[in-house]
Amino acid sequence: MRRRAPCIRASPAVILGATLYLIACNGEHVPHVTVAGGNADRGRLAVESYGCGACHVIPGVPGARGLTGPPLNSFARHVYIAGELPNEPELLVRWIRDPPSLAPQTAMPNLGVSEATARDIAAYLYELR
Amino acid sequence: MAAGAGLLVLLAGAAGLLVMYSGVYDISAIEQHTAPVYRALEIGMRNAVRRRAAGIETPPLDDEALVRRGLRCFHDNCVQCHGGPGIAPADIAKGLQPVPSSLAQTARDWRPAELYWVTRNGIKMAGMPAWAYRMSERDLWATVAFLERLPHLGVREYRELLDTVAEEACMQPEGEHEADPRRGLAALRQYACHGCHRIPGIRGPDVYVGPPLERFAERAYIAGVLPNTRENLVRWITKPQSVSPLTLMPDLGVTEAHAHDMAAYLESLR
Repeated sequence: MRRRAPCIRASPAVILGATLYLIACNGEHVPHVTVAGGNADRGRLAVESYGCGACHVIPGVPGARGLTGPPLNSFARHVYIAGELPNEPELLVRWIRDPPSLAPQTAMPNLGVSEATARDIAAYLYELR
Repeated sequence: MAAGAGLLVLLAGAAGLLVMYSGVYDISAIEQHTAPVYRALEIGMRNAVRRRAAGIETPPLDDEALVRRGLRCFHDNCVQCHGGPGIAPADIAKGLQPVPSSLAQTARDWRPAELYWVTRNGIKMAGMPAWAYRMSERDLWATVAFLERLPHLGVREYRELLDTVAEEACMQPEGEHEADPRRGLAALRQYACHGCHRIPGIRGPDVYVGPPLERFAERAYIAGVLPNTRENLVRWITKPQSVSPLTLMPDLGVTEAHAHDMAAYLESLR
């Protein structure tokens, strides 16, 4: 009988561990959003060169640790842009190009981003899941 | 022997977690709990309330003015879910599970200190909110004073008494002078802030409706429009739409004192 003890002792620990692991890894399903004409790799470089990281935390962009604007972690999961607009690709492109035209009071400036570059940036932001 | 019992408890716990994880337990509010689950929840709730209410001292409750005050609070806040003499609960409450109790029965079965504790603190996963954040201390006891009267009232007596009661709404809780981050953390939960924001220190849904509030103390702006100062933060929390008319953040009726407490907590997030 004694010989069996280690096996019995191990099993509850294994069950408990497996259960906790399964529960911890029970993530949300995040649908993939595409931006017409946008390229995420180019977008990441554009985010870097426009200095977006001076005001935003942006995963994957070196030095992007600014806290003037909201952190953009998990941006694909954000429901709204700037607390006022539904987070949809075409609105996001317009927002990146000219924020004050959509929310006059916003502290985010117009950075003179072109339409094509805004599409790239949007594509990158939707990669942040 | 003790090791064996411990092993059994561990196994039972793991089995319970597995049942939860697998999704087999029917959480639909149309289906009933199984009898053992219902009994276990009921007994656990009853005993937890009893234990926590044991040390509470009950003030005199037979003052007529207090009873009338309590009727105002009861009629405006409790009836929507619990119903009243000849009054059905609102639709939102009819399908709740557990069903909100008829307070005429509860008032007969529970001691005043227990009624006070439940009204003040609410009950997790039962739909019962903590009224401590919507009612003053005096009005919590006034509500209990009325509950003591409730089983003795027929429909006619209830209506007659209600006619004598002032329209003046149930009082909001009194504020504390000094803002306190610990109270702020509780207030953030009690105004449902974590329903839309991820807030360090609060266990809640993984949501991105509003911005996550990590490192709030270091943020330069509130909602992208106001410099992050205490005064602005209190203004934003209490009247967001007066700052940004199109913000999706609603006016949650946060009292000035609660907003100061919340601000103190948010300012501690680095």
